[in-house]
Amino acid sequence: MPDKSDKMSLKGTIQVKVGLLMVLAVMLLLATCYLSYRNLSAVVSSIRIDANPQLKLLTIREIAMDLEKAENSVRLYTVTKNPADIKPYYSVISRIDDKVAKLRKEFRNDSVLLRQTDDISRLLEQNILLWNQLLALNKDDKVSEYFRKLADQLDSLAQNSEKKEKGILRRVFSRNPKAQIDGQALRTGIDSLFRQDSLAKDEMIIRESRIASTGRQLKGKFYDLISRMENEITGTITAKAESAGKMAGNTYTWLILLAVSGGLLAMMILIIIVRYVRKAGAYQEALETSRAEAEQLARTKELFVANMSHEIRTPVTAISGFTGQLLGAKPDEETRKSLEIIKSSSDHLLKIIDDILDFSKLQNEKLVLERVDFSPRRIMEEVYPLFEGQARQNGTSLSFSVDGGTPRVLSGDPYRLKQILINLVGNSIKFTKNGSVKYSVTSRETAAGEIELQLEVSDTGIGIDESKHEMIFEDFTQAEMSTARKYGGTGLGLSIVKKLVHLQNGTISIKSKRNQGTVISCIIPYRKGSGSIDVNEGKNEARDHTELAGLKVLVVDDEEYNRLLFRKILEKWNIEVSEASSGMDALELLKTNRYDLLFMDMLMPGLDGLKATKFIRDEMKIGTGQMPVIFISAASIDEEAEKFRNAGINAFLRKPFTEEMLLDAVTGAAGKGSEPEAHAARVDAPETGPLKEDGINLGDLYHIAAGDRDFVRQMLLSFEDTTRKGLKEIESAIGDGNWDQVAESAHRLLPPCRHLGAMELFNLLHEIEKNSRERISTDSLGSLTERSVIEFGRVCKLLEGHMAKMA
Amino acid sequence: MKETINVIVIDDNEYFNNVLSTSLQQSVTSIVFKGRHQLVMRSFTNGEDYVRMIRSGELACNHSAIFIDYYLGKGLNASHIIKLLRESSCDNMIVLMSQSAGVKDKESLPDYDYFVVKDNFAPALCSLYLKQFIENRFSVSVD
Repeated sequence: MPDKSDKMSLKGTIQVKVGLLMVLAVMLLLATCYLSYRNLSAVVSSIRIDANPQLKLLTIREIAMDLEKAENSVRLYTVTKNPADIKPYYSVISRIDDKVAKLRKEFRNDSVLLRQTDDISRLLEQNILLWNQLLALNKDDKVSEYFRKLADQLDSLAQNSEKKEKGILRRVFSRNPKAQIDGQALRTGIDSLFRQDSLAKDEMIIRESRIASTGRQLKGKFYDLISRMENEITGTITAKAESAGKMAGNTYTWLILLAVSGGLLAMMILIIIVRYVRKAGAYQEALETSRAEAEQLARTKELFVANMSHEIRTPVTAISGFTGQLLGAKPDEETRKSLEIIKSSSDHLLKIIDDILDFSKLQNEKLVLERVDFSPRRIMEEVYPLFEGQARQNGTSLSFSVDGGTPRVLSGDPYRLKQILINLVGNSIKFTKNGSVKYSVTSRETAAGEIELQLEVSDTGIGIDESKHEMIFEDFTQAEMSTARKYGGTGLGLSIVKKLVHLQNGTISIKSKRNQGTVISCIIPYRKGSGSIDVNEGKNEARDHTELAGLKVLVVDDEEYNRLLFRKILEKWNIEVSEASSGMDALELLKTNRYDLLFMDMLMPGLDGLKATKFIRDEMKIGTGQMPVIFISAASIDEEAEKFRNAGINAFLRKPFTEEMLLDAVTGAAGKGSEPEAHAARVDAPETGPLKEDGINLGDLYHIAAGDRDFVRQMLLSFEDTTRKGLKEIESAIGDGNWDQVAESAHRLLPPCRHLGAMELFNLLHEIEKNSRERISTDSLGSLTERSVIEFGRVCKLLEGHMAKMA
Repeated sequence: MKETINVIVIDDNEYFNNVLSTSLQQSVTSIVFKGRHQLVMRSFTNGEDYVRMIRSGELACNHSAIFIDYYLGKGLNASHIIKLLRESSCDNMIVLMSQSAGVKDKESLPDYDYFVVKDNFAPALCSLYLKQFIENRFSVSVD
């Protein structure tokens, strides 16, 4: 069986294991969350990035479309010379710079794309130059004017713009005189063109053709670059998609790994918890078993103590009782001294047994308090003679006082109050030589209407050191080791007193100093007595027991010396005593005898006192008023008193008992037993006719039938049948002279006759059996048989009449 | 599995046999309702039948409360059956019954547990002994 330290160790190990696994599980969860977050963020980010290249490509395509639009505009203008057709061109080239700047801004973090944007920008610049040259070849006034306006605009832009970076147009129109076309140079060029227009007509077609060719090449290059950029972006997208896919794959891997780890971890935790629960269950079971064993052991111990005390008490009671009887017979001085020593020793032994029993009950909380009316003064008076002699022997004066205000009657447990007082006074007497012992009682009424009784026992004895005041109330403890050797005692007295006082919701205190005496005070609350009791205070009159003479008493006890003790005392009072050594014997006696009083031992082999009493009350119908039963027991029956009373027990007599106690019991019970009580017949179905009439009594049959009329009918028919056959057998056997057969047949018929109350028939058959066994003449047997047949016929008529009524 | 308690009544008088069997059955009905035990009630008007069933193993002799009349008819008495039961070392209770209280003083009687005079208290007394037997041997409260 696992012990407590093992259990603690297991609990600690399990807690550490589960704790560590929980921490690991939390860490895994956090790692899972972190990695999932990181990878998913990366995937989301790449998706966001992937969305932007589409916008960039859109911008690039817009630029490409703008270029197509600008070229178409220029070409249309060269054909139509209509200034409206050149407007889209200027619109496009005025916006192209912003779009390129936007593209450059979007690619600012990508050096490759930024470089390609610069290339596009450069190509656009070249293209615009070519388109300008083409327009210059097709100049007219309006063209010139447009160029002028454009020059003004450029001037204005040059003045206002603070941008460090030059746009495409600015770069185009702010070149140096050799390589750059500025407003003035353009006007000069245009003027020159105007002037040379007529001269260069032929040459213009050739140049236009060359410019167009160059433009196409540039455009091709431009589209190639766009295509490259698109490829670059597509590549980037593909790379990012691959990267995102990889990251997603990693995330899945991590998630699977972590999920598997988490699952394993959960399984481990589950296994540990299941194992723990199983072990805990096993420990719980072991604990339950241990508790049951401990309880069983406690019960066994209690039973052992009770049985042992009973076993010891019984002979000691006899010793004490018989010694008392011998002392009462006025022996010579020497014998008297010896008998007094025997009496004192046996009484002391009984006191120790009582203490052990009470202690055991108090420890197991089995002691039940009684609540009856009692006189506190009487208790004080009763304690005095118990210690008077001992005090005298010690040269100690013993006195008591009862405060005038103390109520005459209180309600509570007088036996326990007396026990407390006996213990305290006994202790004081024991430890006081040549001094004085006083005990007193005072009282006060509380606000709740209760009476607080204050007992005080003071002595001038050896006293107790202050440091040991608490200790002396502990179990098996005396103030000094030497105390037990010198004064004797079990060390249970004060412990029992304290427990008894506390059980009655009281308090106990001590004032004592070494060699300066001791004062012990107890305050116990009681209720005011409601009834009046025969206090008989201050009187110790000789009891008159003449009125008991002639009483018939049955003593049932398996111990012979107890029965003898009863007999010895009771016969002194001229009481007629019968004895039974078992419950069964008592019942047999009670079938044929009546007693005024029955003393029943509680514990007997076979049928115990309780069951026997119950049978007497329930089955034999001998009521409590008709024959009181006094239960005798060595054990205290406080807690079971109610159960015993319900079983029909009138009073209790505790062993060992004194003559006085026995006299009290007999007089008390005899007084109560004077009320006549009918010996009730068992009648369970009165409405079915005459159950009890001249010749039959069906009460017992109805009792057994428990209302089953068919059973009654069947049994009556069975009786008629078997008796008829039996009588014929008897007649036949008489004819044959078979005496044994006659006796046997008659014998067999007896129980049903008695059971049905056919007592006349029973008596006749009994006579037949007796005569045949004693071989008395057949003449008388024949006569008896004839009478039996006639009586049987009469009984049958009665039974049939009853059955007819039943139908 | 329910424990079997055998209650055996052996009496050649059919009427008394019936009355006693009924009374015994009623007295211990409560334990049958508790469900832990089953009561097997057998009554014989002939002791030989009981002996035959015991010998053939048809009826267990263990855990039995046997109520047996002393005079069993045909010149037989309960002595040889009680002797047989005692020799079998079965755990049982034997209640010897007789019309006459003097029977228990017979010297030749084998050991029995209780003696009951077959009067009007006999069924109640036998029921009390049966309850006591069940309570002691089977640790079950009958009431």
